[in-house]
Amino acid sequence: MDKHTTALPVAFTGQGRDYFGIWAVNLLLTVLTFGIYSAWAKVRRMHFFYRHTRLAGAAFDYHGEPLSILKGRTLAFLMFMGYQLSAEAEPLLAVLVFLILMAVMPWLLHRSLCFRMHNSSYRGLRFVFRGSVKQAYVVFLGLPLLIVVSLGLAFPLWIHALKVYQYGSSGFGRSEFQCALSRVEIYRIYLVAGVVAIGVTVAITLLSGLGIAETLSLEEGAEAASLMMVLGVALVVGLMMMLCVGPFVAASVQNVVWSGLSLGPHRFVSAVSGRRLAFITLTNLLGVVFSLGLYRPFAELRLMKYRLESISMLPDGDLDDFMARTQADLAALGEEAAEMFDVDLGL
Amino acid sequence: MTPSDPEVDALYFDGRSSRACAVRLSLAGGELLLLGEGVERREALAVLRLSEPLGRSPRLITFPDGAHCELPDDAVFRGLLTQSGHRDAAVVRWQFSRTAVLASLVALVACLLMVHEWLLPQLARRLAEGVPEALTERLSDETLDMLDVNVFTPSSLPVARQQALTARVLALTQPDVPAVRLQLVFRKGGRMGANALALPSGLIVVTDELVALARNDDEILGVLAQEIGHVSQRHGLRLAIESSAIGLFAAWYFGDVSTLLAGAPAALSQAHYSRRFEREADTFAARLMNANGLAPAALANILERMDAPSGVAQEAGPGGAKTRPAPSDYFSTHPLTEERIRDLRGP
Repeated sequence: MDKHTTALPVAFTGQGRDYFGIWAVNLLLTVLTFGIYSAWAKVRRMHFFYRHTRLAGAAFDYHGEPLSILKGRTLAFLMFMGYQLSAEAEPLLAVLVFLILMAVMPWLLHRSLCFRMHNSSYRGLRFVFRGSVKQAYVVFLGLPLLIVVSLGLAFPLWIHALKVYQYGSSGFGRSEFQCALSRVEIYRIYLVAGVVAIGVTVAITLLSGLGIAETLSLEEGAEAASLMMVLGVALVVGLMMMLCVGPFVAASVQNVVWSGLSLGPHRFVSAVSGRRLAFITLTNLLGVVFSLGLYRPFAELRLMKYRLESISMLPDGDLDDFMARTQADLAALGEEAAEMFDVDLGL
Repeated sequence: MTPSDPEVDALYFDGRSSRACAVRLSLAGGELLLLGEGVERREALAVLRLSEPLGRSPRLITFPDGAHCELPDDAVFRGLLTQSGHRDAAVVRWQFSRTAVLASLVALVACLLMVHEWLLPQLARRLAEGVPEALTERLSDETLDMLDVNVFTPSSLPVARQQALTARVLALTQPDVPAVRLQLVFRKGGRMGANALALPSGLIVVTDELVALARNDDEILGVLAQEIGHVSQRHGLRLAIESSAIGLFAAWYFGDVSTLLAGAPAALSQAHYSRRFEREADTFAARLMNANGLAPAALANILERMDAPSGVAQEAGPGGAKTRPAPSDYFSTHPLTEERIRDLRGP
């Protein structure tokens, strides 16, 4: 087999016009059915994004069933309502419900990762998630607790573990992904982000602090006005984080994760630019606000297209030789037995 | 079949390996015929699954054994589809029809208006009626505790005066059954100024500033009649339910693109509901006052004085007269007071 090292870029062919139609009709039906249709809407949306994503001349495909998604959403809704209602009725009960939710959450997230990977395919072969439930408890319960205990210092450690769990435990057909991600690299990204975030917050607070002092000296008792100023400062800080920190962190994390990823002999590379991502975030935000939300499908598509097209595969040989898992493999993974459902928890 | 039957080029994946195989598809007597290098398949159309169109992305034909074909969604393929008698689902046709998408948006706006104006208020009313008394009491006590810490200071009104006012309020005949169980408490209003505040359990806070602003007790009774209206019609709970529903919807609709700004529609709609409740409470107050031989004009008179910014500010502000109205006046939650006063004074 001749080795060719030409990078194969991911291409995204979705058009805003088409997605807008899908979004509008889905939104109407979701509202008319009080949210029940949202499961079908999600399947259409996933189909749109997967099947417009192409690599080496073939598209990805999504196989999730609306009913499985509806099941997951119902469960999430019941959990949310259960927590809300218990919080209203009896604070002590709410603490108990919260603890129970914390205890089942890792298991749910594990099922949800299995669901997502199992229902994704490329060239007729399914992806698979092989991460253990035990590791899910470490990643989704143990480390988050460590973040609290360490006053946030363990946050990059958690991101590292999460990415390694998500990507490194995935497989394509019978082949497995390897995720070589260094903790130092992740810490470096968040260290820079932390310094910038603190700098931005201090600068804005100082600048507006002068403004507040001025207002107070001019007008005694302008309590309400200074409250508005504080809210304004919080909003500006939030916006600056969203534009100056968020996109750069997202870009760097995507780049290091994908550049350390391999599938058998094949490797990947990602080259997202933080500046470009910040520009997309800003213009998307303005578009959504000034169009009263109508720009949302275009915004979503634009961001997705940029992030996907920044990824390339560095193949070692051709892509024809991946094999599907046999029924026996799947049974061993428990993929057949376990009922699968999707829980949207923003992973 | 005629010899001019359309034939379509496609890629075939057998579902066992990732190998792509170039094939030609044609229809023959209710069956799909697939011919390629080393592949020949013939399947009844009924067992095949065709993916929905998604703009320019390829269509997929899936076989019962998991194999699939990927083919361009072009004119030749559409010819083949027409010939097979296939028709896309209605939702799919709407998604790509300009008229249907536009109609969806119009229908969506109509739906949302209906929900906002009619359904949500009805639902909130029902839900509020179902809230158990123990809960409303706990919520009200918590709110008062919070206000006592942050806003109020103990009343300096003589106890005899407090008792006299309480006796007059408790002696009022309420127009609706069941009558609201009332409890009056007196506080110095601080930045809340001349005001009365009804909590869902029937706890009504009267500020010293209100008592001072009133020219006679009928005016105070007028304001309290209005507050009894809020309690009787459960406005506090209804507003809480309505705003959380709108808040959730806004967060979902605007998505993560602009979480920061999703609060704006919720605030606007809260002001809208709140104005509506003021009107309802005014009507209730007028009925109550008429039933007890009081003139609703008394409420109108004191409202006029409560509305005058300098009047309130002089009572409320620790630092003397204000040169401009407090910011809250711009986002007034009460309907134009002039209009309310006119309605109360009646014909």
